[in-house]
Amino acid sequence: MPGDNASTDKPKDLKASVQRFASELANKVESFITDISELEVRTYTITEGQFAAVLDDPNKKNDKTLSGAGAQLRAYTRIAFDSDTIVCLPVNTSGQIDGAVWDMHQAAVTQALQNRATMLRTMGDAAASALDALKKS
Amino acid sequence: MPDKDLRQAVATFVEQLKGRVQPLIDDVTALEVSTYGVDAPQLENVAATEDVAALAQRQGYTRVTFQCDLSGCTQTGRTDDVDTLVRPMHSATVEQALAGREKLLTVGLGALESLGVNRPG
Repeated sequence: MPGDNASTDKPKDLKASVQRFASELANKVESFITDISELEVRTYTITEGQFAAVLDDPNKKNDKTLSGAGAQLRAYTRIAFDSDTIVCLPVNTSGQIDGAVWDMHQAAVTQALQNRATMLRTMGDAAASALDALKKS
Repeated sequence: MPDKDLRQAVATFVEQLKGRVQPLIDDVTALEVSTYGVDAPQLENVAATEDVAALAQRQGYTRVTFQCDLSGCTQTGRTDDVDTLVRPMHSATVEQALAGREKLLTVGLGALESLGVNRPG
């Protein structure tokens, strides 16, 4: 009966899926703390008309930083896991800081901090759930 | 076996996380925030270096100390040395760092607990 096969295959499929997920998760989990130990936020401005040239270059898709004509780093923040923080702000020749850029940079840093905390919580939950599922499979 | 791999990976994860969280709840800990003013053309170089102080002028510095135990952390001291030019930005960053530290500590301890690890102390 086709139904019999289906009823015996499904648990096997589920077990295989759980084990595959566990294996993939294991790869992520091992390097996760290292990956989130230091947070860097860079805020750039890009000259109008240069967005595609700067952002769509396939050779630079995986670069950590932006480069190219028209791209300019405007603010930089580095945050260690213990939250020790370094902020670098460019000052112009008059000694002034661009307040609008700073506001956007600050919002990006806040978002990055929230994301890091959420990722840590999610990874902990996923690891706990996967261990539990493995015990039951 | 995937089972064994995940257990090993989680064990590594737990040890690394404990190693990161433990210093945050040691008896006396500190948070440091430094704000640097950089000539605009030099910002790329400064961001790329480990030793920012070697290339940039520090214009704001705050050190906050904490006394911590398992129930949480209490500020015990604070040192501020901030130029007027960067004061608003520096102050906002300090508040952000304090909030981020508290959040990460809470989440880190929660992650350890969800994996069956007693709170480090």
